[in-house]
Amino acid sequence: MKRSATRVFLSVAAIVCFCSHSANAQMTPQITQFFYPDLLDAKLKVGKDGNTRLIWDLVSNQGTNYTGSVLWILSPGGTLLATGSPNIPANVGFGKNSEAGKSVFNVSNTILYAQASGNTTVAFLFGQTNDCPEIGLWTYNSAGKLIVSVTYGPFGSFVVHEAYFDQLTGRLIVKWRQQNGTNLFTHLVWGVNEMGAIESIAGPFGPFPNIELGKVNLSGKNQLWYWMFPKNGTPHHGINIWEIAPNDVIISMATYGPF
Amino acid sequence: MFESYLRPLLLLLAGAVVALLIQWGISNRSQNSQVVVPASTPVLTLQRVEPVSTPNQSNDTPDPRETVLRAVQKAKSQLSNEPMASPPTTSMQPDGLPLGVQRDAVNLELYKRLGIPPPLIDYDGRDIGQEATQMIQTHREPMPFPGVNPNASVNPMPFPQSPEEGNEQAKVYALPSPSPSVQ
Repeated sequence: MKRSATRVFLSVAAIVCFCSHSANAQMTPQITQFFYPDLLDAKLKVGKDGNTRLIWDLVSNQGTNYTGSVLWILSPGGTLLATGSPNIPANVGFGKNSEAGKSVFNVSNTILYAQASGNTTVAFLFGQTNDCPEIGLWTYNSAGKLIVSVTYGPFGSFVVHEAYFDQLTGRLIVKWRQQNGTNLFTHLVWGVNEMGAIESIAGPFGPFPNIELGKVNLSGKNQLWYWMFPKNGTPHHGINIWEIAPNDVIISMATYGPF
Repeated sequence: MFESYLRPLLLLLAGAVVALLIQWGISNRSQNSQVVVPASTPVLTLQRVEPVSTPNQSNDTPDPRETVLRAVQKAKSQLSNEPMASPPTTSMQPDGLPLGVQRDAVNLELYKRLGIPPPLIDYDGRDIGQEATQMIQTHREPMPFPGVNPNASVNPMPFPQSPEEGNEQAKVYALPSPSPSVQ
């Protein structure tokens, strides 16, 4: 009798423990990312041709005087196949500043992608602030010759809040946003191909109170936008996914949570 | 008796000398017809160099000697240990475009409607380096966001519950004239 009472007590305790754990779980979709996720990644990529693309930052005076960057293309065996011509000028910037004004990343404001075509695309996140008003793109061919150059901005109060290469397609995702109040933003996103051309435009959308736009990826030429809601006030979040055609038309939405 | 052995032996030796002379002559001639490539030249680099041709000369057969000499010069310049830019070289694709350049990658109609200049692309094999460097060093004045109505009244709006609702909300930002579309 005493043994069965103990068993019942332990079972009830286990069930109560499991249920309370489920009720208190904090489910958050992990869709947000750093301002420029590729910025701190090594400026070194291997293309489908097996060749390595590498950026040299030219810095003198004990790391305080940035004079530009150079692209190298190396064979798998380390043979220097080509060097980028011309050099990347110093005005693309070196390092981003924290809100306190301190330089936090001691690398050039360049991000790199080795295209399937054999070309190498370098994007420039001009300036020292996280939200840069301008963005540039150069593409070198496999012989290191510059074949494409473009700059976009400044465009009024819109700034580039995030920019990165879509890992599947090599397109540059440029996330513009305009602040409309405290924690209120209007969002607009471009997909830019390796020839520097705008291929898809989505937005502006918003501002939506208490909702955060996370990553944007590409599916073909369509953009996939991931929203997290609510942004603040609860540990329980849901996710909303939009698929937007290149001509700026939302073609589908899906919502999950909050759980 | 001794002479009877010596005569065939001398004949054999004379034959061998003549054969050696003929072989030496042949090998010497074949060496002269080749261009010697320095052993230090990277093999991969040689394989990658393509003959330079302009659209007007695309049907001309490239001189193999010129190709190899160009490859040697390129390899020498690449053997520098300093991370500096090498002089640009132009390789053309069979369609007459420079290596890596894609035709029809830019929707010029879209740029016309957005009112911004399209990318600078090397369609003809010229050196765009100086122009590109100047482009990113030039200070530009801010302009309204292309394709977005600068006079749109932006107010917080409820998060849309359907694609139709979202597309309807976005009309706030549309320009009075037909809005730019990618397709």
